[in-house]
Amino acid sequence: MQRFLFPRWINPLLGLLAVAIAAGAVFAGAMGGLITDPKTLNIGYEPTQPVPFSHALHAGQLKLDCRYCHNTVFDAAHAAVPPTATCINCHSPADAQGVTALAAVRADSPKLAPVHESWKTGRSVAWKRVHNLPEFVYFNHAAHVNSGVSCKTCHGRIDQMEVVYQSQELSMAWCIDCHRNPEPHLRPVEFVTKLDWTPTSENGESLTDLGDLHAYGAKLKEEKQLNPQDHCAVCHR
Amino acid sequence: MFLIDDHPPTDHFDMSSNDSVTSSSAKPTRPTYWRSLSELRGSEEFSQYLDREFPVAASEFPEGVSRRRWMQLMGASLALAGVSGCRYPEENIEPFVIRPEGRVPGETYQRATNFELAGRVYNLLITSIDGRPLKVEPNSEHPSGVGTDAFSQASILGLYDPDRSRGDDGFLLRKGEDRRFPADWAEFDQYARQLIEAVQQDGQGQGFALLMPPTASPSVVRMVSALKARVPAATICRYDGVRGDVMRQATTAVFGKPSRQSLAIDQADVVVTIQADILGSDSGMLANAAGFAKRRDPISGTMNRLYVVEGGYTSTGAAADSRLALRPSQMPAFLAELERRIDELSGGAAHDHSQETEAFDELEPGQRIERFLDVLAHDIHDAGDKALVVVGDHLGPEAVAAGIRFNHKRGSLGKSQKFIPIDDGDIGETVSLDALVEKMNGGQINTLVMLGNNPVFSSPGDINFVSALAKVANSIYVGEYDDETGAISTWSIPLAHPLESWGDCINDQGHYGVCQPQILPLLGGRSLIEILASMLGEAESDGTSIVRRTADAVAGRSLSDREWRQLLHDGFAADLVVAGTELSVGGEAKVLSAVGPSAPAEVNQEDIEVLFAPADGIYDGRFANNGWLQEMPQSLTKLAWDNAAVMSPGTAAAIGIRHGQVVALTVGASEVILPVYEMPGCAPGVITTTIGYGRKRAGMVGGFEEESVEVIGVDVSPIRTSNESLVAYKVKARPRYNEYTLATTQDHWAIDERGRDETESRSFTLIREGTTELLKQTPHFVDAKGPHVPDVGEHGSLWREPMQVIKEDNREAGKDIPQWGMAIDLSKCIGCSACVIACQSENNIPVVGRDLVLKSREMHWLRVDRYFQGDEENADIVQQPMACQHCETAPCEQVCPVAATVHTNEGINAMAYNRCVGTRYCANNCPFKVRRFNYFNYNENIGVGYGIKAYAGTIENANRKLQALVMNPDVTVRGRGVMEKCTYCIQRIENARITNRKEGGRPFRDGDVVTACQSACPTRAIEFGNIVDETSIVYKKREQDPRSYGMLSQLNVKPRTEYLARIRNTHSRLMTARQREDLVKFKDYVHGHGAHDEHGHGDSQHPASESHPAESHPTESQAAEEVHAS
Repeated sequence: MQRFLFPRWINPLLGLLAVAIAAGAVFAGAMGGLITDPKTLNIGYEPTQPVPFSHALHAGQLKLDCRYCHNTVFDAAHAAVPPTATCINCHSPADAQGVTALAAVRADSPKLAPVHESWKTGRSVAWKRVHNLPEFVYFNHAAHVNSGVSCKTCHGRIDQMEVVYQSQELSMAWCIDCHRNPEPHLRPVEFVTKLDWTPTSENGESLTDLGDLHAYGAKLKEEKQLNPQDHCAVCHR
Repeated sequence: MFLIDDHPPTDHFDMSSNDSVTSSSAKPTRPTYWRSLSELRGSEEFSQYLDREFPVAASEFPEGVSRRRWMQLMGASLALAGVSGCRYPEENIEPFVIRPEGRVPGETYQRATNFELAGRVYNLLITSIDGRPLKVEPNSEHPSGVGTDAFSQASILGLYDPDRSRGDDGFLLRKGEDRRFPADWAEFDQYARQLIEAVQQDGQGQGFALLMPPTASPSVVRMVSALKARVPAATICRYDGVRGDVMRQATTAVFGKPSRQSLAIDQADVVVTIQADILGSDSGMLANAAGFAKRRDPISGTMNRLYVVEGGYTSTGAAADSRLALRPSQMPAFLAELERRIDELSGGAAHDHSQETEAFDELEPGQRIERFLDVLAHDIHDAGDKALVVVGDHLGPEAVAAGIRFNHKRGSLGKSQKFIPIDDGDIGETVSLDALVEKMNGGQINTLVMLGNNPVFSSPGDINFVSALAKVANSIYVGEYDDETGAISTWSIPLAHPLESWGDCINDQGHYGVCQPQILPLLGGRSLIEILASMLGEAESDGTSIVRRTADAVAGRSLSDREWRQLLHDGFAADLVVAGTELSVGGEAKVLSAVGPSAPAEVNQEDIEVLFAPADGIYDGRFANNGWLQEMPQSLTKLAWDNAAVMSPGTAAAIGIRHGQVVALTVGASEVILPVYEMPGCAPGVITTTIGYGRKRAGMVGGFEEESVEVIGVDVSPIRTSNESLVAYKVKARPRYNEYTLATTQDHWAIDERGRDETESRSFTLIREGTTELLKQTPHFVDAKGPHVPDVGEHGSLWREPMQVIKEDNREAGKDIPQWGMAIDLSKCIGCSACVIACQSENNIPVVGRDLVLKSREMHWLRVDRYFQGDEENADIVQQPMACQHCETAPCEQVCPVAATVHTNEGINAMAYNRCVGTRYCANNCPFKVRRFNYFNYNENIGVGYGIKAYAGTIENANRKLQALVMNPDVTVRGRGVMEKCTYCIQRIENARITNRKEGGRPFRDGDVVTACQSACPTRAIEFGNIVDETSIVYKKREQDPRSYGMLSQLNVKPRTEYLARIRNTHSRLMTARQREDLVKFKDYVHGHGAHDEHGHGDSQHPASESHPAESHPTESQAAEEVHAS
């Protein structure tokens, strides 16, 4: 059988082909690089929750401390999502006689239906996880908040979010940046959950100069003997 | 100065002149320490383990998984990789509706419990997470509870065994005409109550029998007593499938009532065991090991002396200072002769031993017994009431009683050997199993209740339990598994696991402890006391109130709620100790033998003596379905998934057989066919074998004939008898010429120290050992035994080494960063393998199965290497736990192309699994061979452990998911293609760091980080801590103990794990030729700076000269004094 040969008129198109391949490679590379970038992938992830709970209302307007609900944050790896009972403390449902056992703030709001449902049936509310790290990463909340890293550093201004979304990329490079240079993210432990806190100098002035901020953090780091590690085994066990 | 590398010592020393020792690099030398006979004989089989990381053809796919299946699996994983694309899968967070008080989600907590397992009583703390038990730890605050062993460590896997019999969803089994029907608890309760009532009316229970194991639980005793009160004429049979009734008979003969033994080894200066494996299979092993370790501190403490007389090789024999291999039939005579000789010495006899020139191991067998007896008699005579003789159950009640009387006469009874009356003594008269079987066969029994113990499998060969059981109309079997006995009983009742049940127990020291459930029964079983109470129709049928009532009875008063809660919380109460009544020695002493022991001229294959021992892992077969215990290499044979006829090479030759062939052992008409395992140091004509193998209905791991799961090992019960269940005399042995490949790990991961031709003749220094005399004469003999290496690093060379850079950086930055290290004391290690299982449990290490063990693919991060020293017939054993050494200049790190294994600034050689691409270069470059490669996805596709897809397409597939609950969530579960190894329990270090931070950022203290192996160790042989903290134990052990050495110092890898040399307190007259040589050879050794720096742990902050007490010694004797004083 005779070998197949491309006809001659194809030849001028070869240049075009080369250009197309080159452009394709650039396009694929750019797309691949961009869409797999944690910035693209992670920031802004905002799933719909079963209960339209507003952090902006509870933490922002009403100024509930983060630890009212996420009470294990200083003791444990997980800043536990609160049990239904915590919600019921204020939003207790009415019984058949219309009597509520505890405080009944907006007890008849339809938005609270899933919470009341959970309270009655004993089934958990299935919250959607927003901040998710891979299984091989061992992040510990207690280690960070006890060192004076604010909730804000990783979660952003939760107290201004109507619906919680991911505000930081939570990638390894992002973690390491802070572990190598923690100073700008440190504050006294008592202000960790105060999201609108800004460092002030000794005479009460708000610090704005970057150098001052750094010095402020460095002082805290020195006081608390903080040595954030940046080797693999800190997070990967 | 004696320079080791100028005169490399070879195997054969010229005693007259050190200088005449020359290197013989041309021909390979016989090793001084060897792992197996194949190494000693230099076989090709061994050299492949030495020279290659894995043996030839090890990278083949395991049989049993077809290529088609392989393609399916690969295809599936590729497809998954495609779809799972960009974001992580969406996860839900489902919090409690009402969170239990004090519960912190995702954090571990510990609860105390006490239970009995395989005849041992454990005082434990159970670590749980989110209500799920995860890890077993010793209760370190318990006044008499020490350490753990492999059984207790592995009980956590047993809890999640999906093959256990089930009590949920009507899974209780009732035998019908042609098949078994599911039933539920209500049905059983009704049946059982009616049955008891019927039995009661029928002659007060004449036809009723109860078969129960010996128990340490007062609640069970109380229930059985209540039963006995209801049916006074009932037959109660007490049955111990392993040890039989020997100790009971012996103590009854001596004290008038059955008692149990408790030893205080640390109270004795001379300990003699005669076929008693006090540091191995003995039920008091944990306490014995702790006592033993207390007297194994040659530097800061005192040493006692352990003499072992035994037929086979046991862990106790390996730990002995002097050991004599003797046929069991000669042992009563040995004991009698020993007594006579001591009496002679007490009578004022004097001997002159100055003419003895030969070393102990150069003597003829007859002379060896003679010298051993003589030295022993002198030592015991000199020790007075500090001498302890322990006679093992193998030798029968008369010999055991003679041993007790011996101690009584010498004055050690009540001091180092104590007896307390047995707790189940209250039950009253009991019969033995053969008496019960006789009654069953005679049709006198119509109702039989069996409380565990699987008598169909575990009963000796001369009892046909199956046919006897067929004659019983109503039989109820209560067991954790629906095993061989359950399958043919009328009812098979699921028993809850000890971690799920209420119960109690009294330990050998008399401490009462409650067993509290850590989790509700996973498979719907019930605890023993609940089953008994409900059968009896007791008003109180819930476990809590039954146990609480017993606790009240033990206390002699009603415990307040506060006291009860305290008892549960602590696991013990200081005042809840059962003292036991004073026992007085009575009865007649019998002369065991008028003549002394003799050594046979040659082995007669018609007159073989067989010793039976419970398996190190699966005991009497009850743990056969536990993958961890099946795969745990047994302590001396290193057999996994197999049992064998263990005999010395001489015995094998006399029978006409060799290692790996098969031997037939015959007693009367019963025959057992076993593979042969040649083991140096066994007495001539003695075969040791382990019971518990050959289970036909254990489960999907341990063998299940009906489901075509391969039966593991050989059942040796046919040649056991009910009279002597631990030994068989006059056994005929005949060769069978078929081959059998034993799964033994003894040659796996052999460390190649030779480095080919150049250094082939160098001395083997992985193991360094000496005698107390040598230590006194040359405190730094350990350095003398190691290779001499030039100074490098901080003090020696121009370049800075990686850890040096890290340390200097830390110092400059003023950071107080701990440096982790470990010290393992070989004098204390008894090779019990508790650490191996603890590590497996802590670090999610997979079980690979027998096929892959044969290919040298076991995954244990921590192994216990066992080395022989001596000749084929007479060898000493040293055991050495081996895990990643965390070398400061780690060879593995230098060859990793992707930096997946790197050092932390705390000196840990870390593994980043996600970076690993599986080149296996690191394992090839690791001189210690401690790295393990995941050839397969062991946790899902292959293996028998947690493999949730291991039995594809069956209902088993779903069931297996239960097993995955055993995984520690603090440790990554590794997938296929990833290298792994010991991490120094990095998760525990990080957790301790976080705890310290929570407590205000305090620095690390000793005890903040306890590794899994360290915590499990019953002898405290392993210490872990910060090696730059001068107050830490590990610092003191590494820097101040002259016995400390790092392995392979010639490679300058600077291991962070150091070993403390094994010191044997051998009597000078019993020293082997090699021990004598050492004394002469190292007499003039001067410990100098050069020799010290080879350790490489000198730090300019802590100059070596400060840390070493003997650094600037002018004379040897002063140095010795200094060391002993420190």
